[in-house]
Amino acid sequence: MFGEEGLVYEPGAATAAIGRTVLRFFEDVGEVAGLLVRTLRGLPSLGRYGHEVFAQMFALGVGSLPLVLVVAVFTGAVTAVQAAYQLEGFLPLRYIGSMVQKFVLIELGPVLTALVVGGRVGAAIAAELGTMRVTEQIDALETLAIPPIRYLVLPRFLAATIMLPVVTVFADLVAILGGMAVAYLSYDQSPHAFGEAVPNTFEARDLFSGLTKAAFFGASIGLMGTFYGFRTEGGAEGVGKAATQAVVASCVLVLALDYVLANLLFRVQY
Amino acid sequence: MIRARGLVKKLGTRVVLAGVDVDVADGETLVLLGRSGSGKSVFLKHVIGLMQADEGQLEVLGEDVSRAPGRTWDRLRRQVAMVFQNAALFDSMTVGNNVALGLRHQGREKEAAIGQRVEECLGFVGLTGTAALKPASLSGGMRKRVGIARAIALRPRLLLYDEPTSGLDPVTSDVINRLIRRLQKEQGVSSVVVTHDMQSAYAIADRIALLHQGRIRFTGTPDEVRASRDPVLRQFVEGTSEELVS
Repeated sequence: MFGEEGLVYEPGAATAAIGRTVLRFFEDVGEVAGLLVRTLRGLPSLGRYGHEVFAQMFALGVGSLPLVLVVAVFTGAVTAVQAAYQLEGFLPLRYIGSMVQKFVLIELGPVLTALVVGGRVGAAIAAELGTMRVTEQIDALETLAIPPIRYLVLPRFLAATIMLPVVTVFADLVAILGGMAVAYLSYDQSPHAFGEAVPNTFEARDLFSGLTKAAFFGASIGLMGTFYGFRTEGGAEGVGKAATQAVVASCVLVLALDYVLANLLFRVQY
Repeated sequence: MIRARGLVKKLGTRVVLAGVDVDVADGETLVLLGRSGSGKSVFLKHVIGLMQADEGQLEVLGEDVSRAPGRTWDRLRRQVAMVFQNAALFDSMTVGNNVALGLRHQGREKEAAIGQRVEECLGFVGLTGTAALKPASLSGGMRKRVGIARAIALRPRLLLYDEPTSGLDPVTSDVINRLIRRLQKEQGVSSVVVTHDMQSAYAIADRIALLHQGRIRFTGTPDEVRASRDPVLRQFVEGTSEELVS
């Protein structure tokens, strides 16, 4: 649309550009679905790559814990402040504990953990596989008759799916403790009073639904990281681009899935 | 070993291979010459199943692989190996694990036998005692030799080399050339070597082929290359850029 003489009107150019973008989006969706199917088809051969899954579980899960816990403690603290603000004038402040645990278990714990892990792990997976792609290491695997999907994608996909709920459990716990600390320090609610309010509103379904969401989020992060890593082109620039795309796609997918799963898991019938 | 007839490959709109006809006999070393971007590496990738031709026929080890499914390649790749231009070593693993990976994945040999084979292969390329090192701590020549050790670990019948001497000093290049020759003489391995290095080509080739504009323009022994008056071949051999011949 920009010619040498400045802005030039080209009939249909914008429509064509939008069309190309939409087509590319659906192409990508199709490719991601294809990768998911091929990854799941590798499940029967899991025994052979079990050690890789454990290595990835350690790297992706344990490696993410410090950052996740720092985010969790502040999440819990902010939630306590927000809860106190919303309760003021309606209910006694001793219900802070109930609100914190509810918010954390069903929404904040799984979603914020997924966004943090998505940023860290999604980029790491895409950068690692992207570097392997541009340095022909993935081709080298194929020439050794080692299927890259089973050796590289399946362990990362499974590790992310398994470890995100595990990390979320720790994040939930630390966030609730963070909320408890703020309730005590800022609102004079003793840990005993905070803890006493929790069982009144605790439902096991909240915890399990939150962890189910976390498993789906983990699968999305693993899938996006490996997808963009595998289709990396070019050199260092391509690797950087793949890492960025993986993070953006992971985060968008986590938030979109959150809405879909919220409707499936928490929808109120009226 | 290899029989290609009318092999065509397009990448996007560009025709990279425009009907390649070439044969590699059992135990022979064929050197494939050509300018950058002429499709030499693309041809190698067809021979080991990393790419599939759009048209034409390709036989590898007597099997028609033109439209071969994954299962065929899983079997063939136990007998065909490739040495990559920049070695393509797995940087997360030690040198020993790089060499052992293919053997471990096959699951046919016990760990002690694999360890012994790894030492044997590293010894063959003159890198005994380096199994515990990481690829990042190796020089370019050492990385290429580890790449060869990894490729020969599975005892292939056919070896493909993508620019094995590029970026190496003349002495290290000679080490690699001797290794390629030794593999042919001692183990009867057939090879296709893609290179720009004429000194290397003369040292290792039984026959030399020139890939030009997507087709094999010339095939002959090193002596026939020296005697040839083909202007494109002469230009390549002498490394002249003036009055580019098309």
